[in-house]
Amino acid sequence: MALPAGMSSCAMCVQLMTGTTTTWSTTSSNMSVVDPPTATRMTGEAYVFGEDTALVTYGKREPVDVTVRGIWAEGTADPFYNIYLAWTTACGGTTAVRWAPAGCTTAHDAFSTSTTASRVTALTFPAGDAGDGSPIMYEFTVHTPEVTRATWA
Amino acid sequence: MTNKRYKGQPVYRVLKPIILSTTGQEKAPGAIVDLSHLPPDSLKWFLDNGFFETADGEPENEPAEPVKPCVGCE
Repeated sequence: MALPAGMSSCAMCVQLMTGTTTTWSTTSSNMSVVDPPTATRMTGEAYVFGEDTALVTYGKREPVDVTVRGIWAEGTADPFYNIYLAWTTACGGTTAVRWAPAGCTTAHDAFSTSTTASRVTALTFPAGDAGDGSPIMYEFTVHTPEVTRATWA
Repeated sequence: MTNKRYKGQPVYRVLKPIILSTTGQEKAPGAIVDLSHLPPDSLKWFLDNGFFETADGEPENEPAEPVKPCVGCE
């Protein structure tokens, strides 16, 4: 049996939609990591005396958190600028993330958070450490009702 | 600028969620789109894999990108 054609995230593409804009901007040159969210569905269980196993029931899909880490570059061209603006907007400005593990090119899949109901719920600011020569990074978490999949065409 | 497509240009109905590479906008099943930017081989792959079906004659059209006014067309 032939092995499947595996792929790495070498050509991964990351896009953001922040604030009141309705277009995606590619931020692959600034983003370093997209932590895959663990999507879950509500479950319930109950036990009865006459059986040894649980009665299991299932509910709705729960919201997910997508965490993204970026390289801090300063200035208004740095995606951090718009992420920070959305973060400081009263009640939270829309911040949606879309990532395509194999790249934003035809026939590849992309996953995205809601473009209307996604908000940044955690933001780690750029920090510094005199004993560390690594690039300065920041991190933000987008809370969203669901992650959807679509294919580039 | 109007988004009027060229006369005779085929359009397709989306059957699975897609992202138009020309605009970056996601299109849900049911949307009518212009795929004139796709090479024939690529278009065939999408049709064979059930992403689109032909929708010629549909009154609504959502072009992949704004097209220039059609000179000499209706």
